[in-house]
Amino acid sequence: MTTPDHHEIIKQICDYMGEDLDGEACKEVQEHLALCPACRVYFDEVKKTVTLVRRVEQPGEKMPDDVKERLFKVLDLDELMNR
Amino acid sequence: MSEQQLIEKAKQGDRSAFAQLVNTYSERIYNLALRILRNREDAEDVLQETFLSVVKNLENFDGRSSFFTWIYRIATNASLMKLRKKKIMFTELPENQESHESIENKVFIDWSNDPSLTVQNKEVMELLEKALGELSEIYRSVFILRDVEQLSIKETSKILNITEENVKIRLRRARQFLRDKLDEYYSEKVSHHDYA
Ligand SMILES: [Zn+2]
Repeated sequence: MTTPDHHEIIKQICDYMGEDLDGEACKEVQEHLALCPACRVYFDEVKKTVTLVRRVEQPGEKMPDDVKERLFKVLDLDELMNR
Repeated sequence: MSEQQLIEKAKQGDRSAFAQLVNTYSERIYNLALRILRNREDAEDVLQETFLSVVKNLENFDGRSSFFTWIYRIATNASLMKLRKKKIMFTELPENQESHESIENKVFIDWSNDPSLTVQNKEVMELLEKALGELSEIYRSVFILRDVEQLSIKETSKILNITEENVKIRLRRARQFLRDKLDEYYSEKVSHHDYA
């Protein structure tokens, strides 16, 4: 049985992680993730971390009215503000 | 009226057209700045600076990039400038990240499916919030644009004026850094409770 070159695969997983985590990945990496628990766990954890941060940061805050008012005032657009 | 028409009118000095653009983009810009700066006062400053810069430079906007990309670039640059001025010490990430060369020898705690790992978990959320604040600007900006704002790699590279390859490298390091912070948290938890 040939052992896949772990380091090479890990490097690919790293590259893969620079991409969209749900996007098309190269077949070899997908196969490796299916077979190698260590890499799989690592990958799942990165993915979970990103999902959590995204959930916490999205949808963001409603801009406070006073912030908006000051913005329109600075821009000299006070009378044109949508309230 | 299309956005392009609004921009044309605003360029010719139509204030109501410009006000519409401000209404369309201000909340997104405010949130972008807030995510990068993690401080409301600073985010408001950047918001104002961004639109003042738009007023000043709109006549030079040639439509080669989208208005969205253009205004995002202004706001991101303003945010990063502000961050730099604050001279906060950030965690340095190694240039050549080999950190998980050791991946195969490590005992993994698989916490990815821990049911307590949710946005309701205050401890974890504070930890992530803190970790985001520790990420230096070049990593934080990429992470915010790509993973939080969910812009494409291409858009992110245009906004930050770096190559797509660079976006990927920084994104990878930012993601790994945040993951490692959570992993430390879990490792401590495990050693504390003495179970593995
Ligand atoms: Zn592996």
